[in-house]
Amino acid sequence: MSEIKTDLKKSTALENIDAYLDGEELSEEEARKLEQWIKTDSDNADQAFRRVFLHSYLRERFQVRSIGEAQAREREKQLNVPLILPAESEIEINSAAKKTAPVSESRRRILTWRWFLLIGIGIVSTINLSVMFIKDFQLPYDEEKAFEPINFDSHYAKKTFLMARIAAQPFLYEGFNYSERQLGEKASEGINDLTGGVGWAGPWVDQGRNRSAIIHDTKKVNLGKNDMRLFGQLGFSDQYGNMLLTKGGQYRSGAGSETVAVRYLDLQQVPKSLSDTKGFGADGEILWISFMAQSYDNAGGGRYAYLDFGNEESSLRIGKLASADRGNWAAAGQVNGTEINTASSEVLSGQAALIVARILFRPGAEEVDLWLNPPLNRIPDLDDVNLRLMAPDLRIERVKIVSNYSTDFDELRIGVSFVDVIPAEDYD
Amino acid sequence: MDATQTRTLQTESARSRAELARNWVKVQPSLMAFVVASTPQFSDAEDLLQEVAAEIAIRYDEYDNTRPFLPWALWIAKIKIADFYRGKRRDRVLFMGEAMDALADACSRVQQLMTEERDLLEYCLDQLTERSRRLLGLRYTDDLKPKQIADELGTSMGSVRVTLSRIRTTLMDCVQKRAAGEANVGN
Repeated sequence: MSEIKTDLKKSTALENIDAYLDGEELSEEEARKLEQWIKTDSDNADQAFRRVFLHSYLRERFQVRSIGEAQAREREKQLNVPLILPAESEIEINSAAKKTAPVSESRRRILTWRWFLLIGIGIVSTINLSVMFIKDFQLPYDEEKAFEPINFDSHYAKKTFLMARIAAQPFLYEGFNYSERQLGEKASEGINDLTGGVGWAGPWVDQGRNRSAIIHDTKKVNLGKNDMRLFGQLGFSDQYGNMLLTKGGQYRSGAGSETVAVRYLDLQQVPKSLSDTKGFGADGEILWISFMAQSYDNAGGGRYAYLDFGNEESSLRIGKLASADRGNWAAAGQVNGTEINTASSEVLSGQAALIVARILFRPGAEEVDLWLNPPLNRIPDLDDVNLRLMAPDLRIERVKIVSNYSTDFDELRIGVSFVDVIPAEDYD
Repeated sequence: MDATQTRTLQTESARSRAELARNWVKVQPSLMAFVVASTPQFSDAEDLLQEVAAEIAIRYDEYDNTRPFLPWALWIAKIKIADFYRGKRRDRVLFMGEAMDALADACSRVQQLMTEERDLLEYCLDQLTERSRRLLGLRYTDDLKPKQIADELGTSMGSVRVTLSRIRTTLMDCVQKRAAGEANVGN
């Protein structure tokens, strides 16, 4: 009936919606008919909205999950493999339909892996050479010792990766290595006035109702037998036996009420390429973040303990989040106090985790990839991400640790490459 | 105000934030689609959605939590969309203008259904041929318009437009068949 009333077929209406959402201009007549078609029948309105939802979903789905695919396509372009539009019969989905080219699927995976490896080697080599030549870099290089824990396929890749790893350094670092004596001599409470680390503009400011603390021995200082942290300090071992054990202190948020610790970055120490007129977070750049964390236990249900990177208007939150009800390690964007686009992992927050995040600054929303406990001997593969989300446009001015549930954090690093943010002995 | 009152207010505020976060996660995909309908440039839509999120956070105290959250959030979205177009030269015909309320009603009606259909969409996407997926990739990953895709592939814009439309229709049909348990794909 509606098709008669509005003089528009469903297929034409949906094609016009497609055209509109693909950026084409509708004529006055087309727009009027489409409006009428939508307004005169609720079924039509439902169909129209479902079509718009499909566009929105496809955009999100392809943007978020296709970085590897995009690179594979780029490779295909270079190999001059042109895309030919699929024929109408090829578009149909039915039981007899065969997925074409399984060989190309596997080939694409291999290409993606090789592509990432090549880029990785390129990045680490560039970093290494830059540091060596620009900063008059000198390192005692003990190959036997250096290679001992590394299990890496290519000798060259192993060498360049390791050399870059030795040479790399984050431009922002906080290891919470404050001695008990240093803490005892301090007049202020909590972590107020602590100024350790690299790349900061000033001291920590402990501004919550509860106070933070620096813990040196978790076996002695814990909240009872159910405290998951009493077995030892934060540490991590990857599948190849690369060990990360932290020494010195680690940050602990208070229990019972909210702890908020804030520290501002020295923007002069942020690499120039990462900044533009609006601040730190220039579009087109990539940033890596890592830190270790462990909560009292796995409890969720509105409990939170997270690191917040950004400013008061928008930021990226990583940790135990109120919007991730199960209480597992999670990440979300924040806009004016509201968590959006929450992505929750399968890793329990009572388990110590090394969290590595990569932010791709883009016009508008940023793309964030996170790996939990990744192998340390290679740049993690985008196919292996644990969490992926879009975060609001970020301008990082400060790091804030916010918690209403006792949680430990340590070894916070921010750099321009993966090797910059892998915890290394030099810093602890 | 004494310390007890202050503590009560802070607890209320924390509870309110947590509730808002939970509500937002549920409605965000539908709101994004609604915003996309009004601002087909995806980058504009993402910016606008951020503004909607901010406005909702600011005005959350006004929300009556005995009523559904989505219609209230859509009302805020409509205000922000109107603001968006007031601040810009309106240089294109918007079918959305007059149909906005009808689409908002549709959004409320089919929201739950579409959330459930997302898994089916994944399945159906997987059933597409490699060439169809690559074409979608050019449109949504590389953000190319049909004209640009046509130029790149050396074909006509009309062919690209029709092919994209057919792929979308195929996906929708597949989802509906799977949802109805009628499809025999992959069996």
